[in-house]
Amino acid sequence: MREASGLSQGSLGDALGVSRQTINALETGRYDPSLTLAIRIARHFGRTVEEVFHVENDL
Amino acid sequence: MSKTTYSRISTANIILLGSLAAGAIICAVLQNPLGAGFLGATAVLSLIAIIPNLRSDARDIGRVNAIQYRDERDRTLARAGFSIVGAAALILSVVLAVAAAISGNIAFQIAAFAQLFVLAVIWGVANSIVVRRG
Repeated sequence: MREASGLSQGSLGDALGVSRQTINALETGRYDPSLTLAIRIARHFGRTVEEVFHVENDL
Repeated sequence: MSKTTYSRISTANIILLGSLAAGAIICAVLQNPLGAGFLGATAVLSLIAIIPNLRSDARDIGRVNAIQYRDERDRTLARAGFSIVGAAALILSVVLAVAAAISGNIAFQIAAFAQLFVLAVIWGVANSIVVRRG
């Protein structure tokens, strides 16, 4: 989604007010964002949170 | 391409550096050159460690070590790190209290038991705060 928008991890991080490492950790599944950040990311791409984030073994 | 920006020095670091500098000045006034030198050098070395981590492209481990958190992940990582430090401090304080009791030295015993007591109180207060907020 980020790459499709032509954004680097650093520029997306700048746009969201987080570090490049946080974007990398989110993309590699090493960090689960807060609800606030998840909503900010979804809004940035004009999507819903469910479209951006997926839960394994969805309940 | 993201542009490098610089964040402000954190409140925790201002308090840390201010305390070290104030301690160094007080030691100098009291004509304690060793204390003044130690505290002054610690303040300068701390500042040297903090400055590179003000950059927006600083490494996450550097920011967390320098108490220059940029976002929620930095704060989450720092909390996890500090929780390990707290557990280690409690365990080591118990070891220290046992060593102090064995030594029979009154001043050592008072200092060791006071440290253990204060840490235990902080632990209890911290737990009640996080449980109430959680």
